[in-house]
Amino acid sequence: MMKKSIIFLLVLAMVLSAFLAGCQPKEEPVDTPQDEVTETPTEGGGDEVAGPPSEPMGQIIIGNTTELSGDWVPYWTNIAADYDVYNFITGYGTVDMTFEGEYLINETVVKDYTVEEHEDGSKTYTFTINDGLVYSDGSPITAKDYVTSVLLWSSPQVQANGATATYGYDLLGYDAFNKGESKVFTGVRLLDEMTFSLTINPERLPYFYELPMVSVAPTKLSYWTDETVDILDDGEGCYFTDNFTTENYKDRWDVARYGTTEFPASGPYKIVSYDESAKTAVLEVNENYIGDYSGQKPKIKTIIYKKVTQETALDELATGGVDLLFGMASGDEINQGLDLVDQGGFSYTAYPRSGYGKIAFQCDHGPTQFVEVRQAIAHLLDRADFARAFTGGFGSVVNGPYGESMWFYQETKSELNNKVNHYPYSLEKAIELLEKGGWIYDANGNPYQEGIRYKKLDDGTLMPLIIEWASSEQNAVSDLLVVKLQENPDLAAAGIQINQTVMTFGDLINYLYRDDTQDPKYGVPTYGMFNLATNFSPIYDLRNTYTTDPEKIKAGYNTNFLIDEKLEQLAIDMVLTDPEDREGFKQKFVDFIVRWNELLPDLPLYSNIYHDFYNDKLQNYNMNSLIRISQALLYAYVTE
Amino acid sequence: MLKYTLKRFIYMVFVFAIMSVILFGLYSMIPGDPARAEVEGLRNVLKPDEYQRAYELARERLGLNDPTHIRYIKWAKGFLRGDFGTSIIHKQPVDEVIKTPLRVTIFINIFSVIAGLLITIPLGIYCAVKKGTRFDRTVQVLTIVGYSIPSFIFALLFIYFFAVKLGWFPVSGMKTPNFTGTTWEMIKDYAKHLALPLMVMTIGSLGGMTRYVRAAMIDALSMDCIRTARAKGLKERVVVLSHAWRNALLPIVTLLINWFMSIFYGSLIIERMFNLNGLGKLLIDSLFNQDYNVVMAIQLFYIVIALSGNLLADLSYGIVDPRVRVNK
Repeated sequence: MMKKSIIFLLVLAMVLSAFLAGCQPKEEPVDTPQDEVTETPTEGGGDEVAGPPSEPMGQIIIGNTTELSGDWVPYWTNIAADYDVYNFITGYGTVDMTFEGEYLINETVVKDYTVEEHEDGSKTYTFTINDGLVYSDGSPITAKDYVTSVLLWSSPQVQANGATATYGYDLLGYDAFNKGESKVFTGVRLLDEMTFSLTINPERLPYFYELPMVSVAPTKLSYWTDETVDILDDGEGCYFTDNFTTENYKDRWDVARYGTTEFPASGPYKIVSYDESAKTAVLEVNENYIGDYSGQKPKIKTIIYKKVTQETALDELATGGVDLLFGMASGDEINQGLDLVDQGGFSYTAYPRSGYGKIAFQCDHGPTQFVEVRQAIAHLLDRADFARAFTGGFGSVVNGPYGESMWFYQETKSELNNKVNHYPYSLEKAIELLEKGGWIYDANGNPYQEGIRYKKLDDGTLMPLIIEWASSEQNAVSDLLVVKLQENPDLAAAGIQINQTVMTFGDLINYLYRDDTQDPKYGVPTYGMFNLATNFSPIYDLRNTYTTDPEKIKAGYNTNFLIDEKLEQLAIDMVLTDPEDREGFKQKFVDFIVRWNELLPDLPLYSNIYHDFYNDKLQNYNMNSLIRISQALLYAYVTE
Repeated sequence: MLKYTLKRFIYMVFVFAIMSVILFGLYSMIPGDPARAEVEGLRNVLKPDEYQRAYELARERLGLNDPTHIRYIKWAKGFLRGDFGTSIIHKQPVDEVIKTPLRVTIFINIFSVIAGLLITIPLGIYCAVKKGTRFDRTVQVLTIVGYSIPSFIFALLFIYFFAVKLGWFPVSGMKTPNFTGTTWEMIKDYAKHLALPLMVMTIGSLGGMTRYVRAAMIDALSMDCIRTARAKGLKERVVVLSHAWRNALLPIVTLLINWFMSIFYGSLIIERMFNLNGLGKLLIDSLFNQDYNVVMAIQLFYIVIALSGNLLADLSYGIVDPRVRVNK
């Protein structure tokens, strides 16, 4: 009887609660700040209506289809959503990056700095930081907090706990320190309370992206250890006191990385709460933050980072469940978002992706080892049509390995467009290339008439023009490639056959890297083309991607297996450019792209135009694919 | 009874052990290298030898260098100590990763199961008693329709009408982010967020159970004892609820127990559509990410639930129907 009563009461409570909730559609939670939605429809970044407020105000709920794990620091995890939160709570780096992807010394942090070149080719940056920098908890930031970052996140102690310990990878003495051969990190010096120095390993110099090597943000040592651990410098370099061991602090790290209110934030925001069941993080302005490199301070008081489902993300935006959806790439979603914008109350910002979807060729075996075959395939795929079909009209075609928002592409665009081959759709051109490449025989070695073409190799054997294609399962790009390329009648008319093999992504990667440690079959070159995607970071360094060093290739770099010393040298020349020589870098970039475009190790298929949709209350929101959401929102504000 | 239970328990341990071997073996055979997935981001950051070292360290730490049987023994030893391993994605002990989704799943399912039972049992009984009437025929059609339509269709329809068009409920989530208020306001906020998923889950489960109850009751109502009861002049209410229902319970007791055990099962579709951090979603995400320690723990948990459910169902036969003996 008692059980029946309890069950009855439970159900009654549920039904009544649902009824109460359902019957009060206009009721909003009492203390949740609600922002008015402006009625004026705007497009492309939101019009500035009343100017930014003098003090932070309002709230923005960011919706992301990637869920948070609560593990904020990037050393144990790679989840992009957690990294977004990390960027909101981390700042005061010695080096900052502009919206265009250029690096500069952060003068909000650095009071003074000197650069000294040594005879051995190493280079020492000595930084004196400004007084008055503090964490969100009010504790002061000193030079020790900067050297803590380098030592802690390079240490064998955190590495033994599963962390990636590469923070000081470019600095002198990293190898010995990281491997535990030396307790002293010779390239890191703590000179006084506000001064420290970092010495770049001569093996890494010269390098166009030199500044990111000395980009260091503060880390509060006592938060990650306790008050008994210290960093000392006896004149040879920095080192931890002996009580800093994995055993002593493993448990501490496992808690600290998930920290919320107690996490000492150095960035524009601090974490107020994290709800694991709802996968939602609430951030509020760090009142102690004095700005980024330009002195910009946050104008939005509260930022909420929330998980949304892809299928209903735009419904969330329409109903006020979220205020901002960023990085939308699918044509259906974008059209749905544009409909919302047309209805009013919402805006959008569109920007090109820094990367592309592609066909990656392996250039050391089979027909794809011959450049004419790769070029012929490029002529047999209408890439503009493919990009239109795949992205729903919200994509573009690129002709080299670059993102359209990169500053060096922007400044060389017209020159590049004149110099590169756009590979327009042409059966005649494809046939001409194949004939030029020696694909002029049939299976019997007679002059080609119809069917599959053959080429006579140096040893006299005939190679058929059959390309084995590895594609991952449940892949929309693969499905479209079947229609637009594999089953294209002109492909057969040109004498080419493409055989598709569908496999798991893990299998595909093993074939791509030829990883015979997993299974000897992967070590045998089998597939000539793969459909993949690639993204570029602001540090544009493709030396390893096109390396000709056999050891590096064996280790999995240069998955195109393209051995071209000229291309490799051009990639090396680019990053060896003096950091001050922008013009020189741009010219080398053009030379590199032209060579790449001729060799065509990849065939870029589409580069998305990302769309960020947001409530009209969000103003001055300017996003691109080089920066992160934290940087875009630092300059934005909301109107109430 | 005790002997029977003990025998069944030993059988459960045996099945569990066999299943753990099969699952571990299967997951070991799937192509993929978690160590490489972990260090892949470093490929363009580190020198080749440094990258290789990071990769080998990761393999060592994840125990991937041992042959499969050694890895299984290590895993099983840990399992017996209550250590289910570490999630390669979350970089946390598996029990920590599972804790919150399990709580969310149980919380949602309790309401859904209770609501479902409260609707289906009376409805099934009523339809059996009123067999062939317009009401019965209507329910039959609706239950077939409800049974045939996948729950994600219901989810999308409900979201469109009740959240987007009418604005009565939020599209997804368990509570309003950054919500502050009194306890009562928080309960209302929870109710508002969970109303839609609960409605979809309940409606999705009505069809099958209603029809089972109806069929069992029709069989029971045609028994001789029911005719006798009516001949004795017992009230129809007593005949139906006391005599017929008791006889109808035996065929549906297994279903009822499995329904209760389903409180622990996650619902992939509902959790995904309504963005609830439950066990079903975690299982699928972990499978996609090849996070097999998490997958193993969840699947073995499901096996325990299924085996326990079967045992409970068998034991309950004896309680529901004294003619059934379970002590052999």
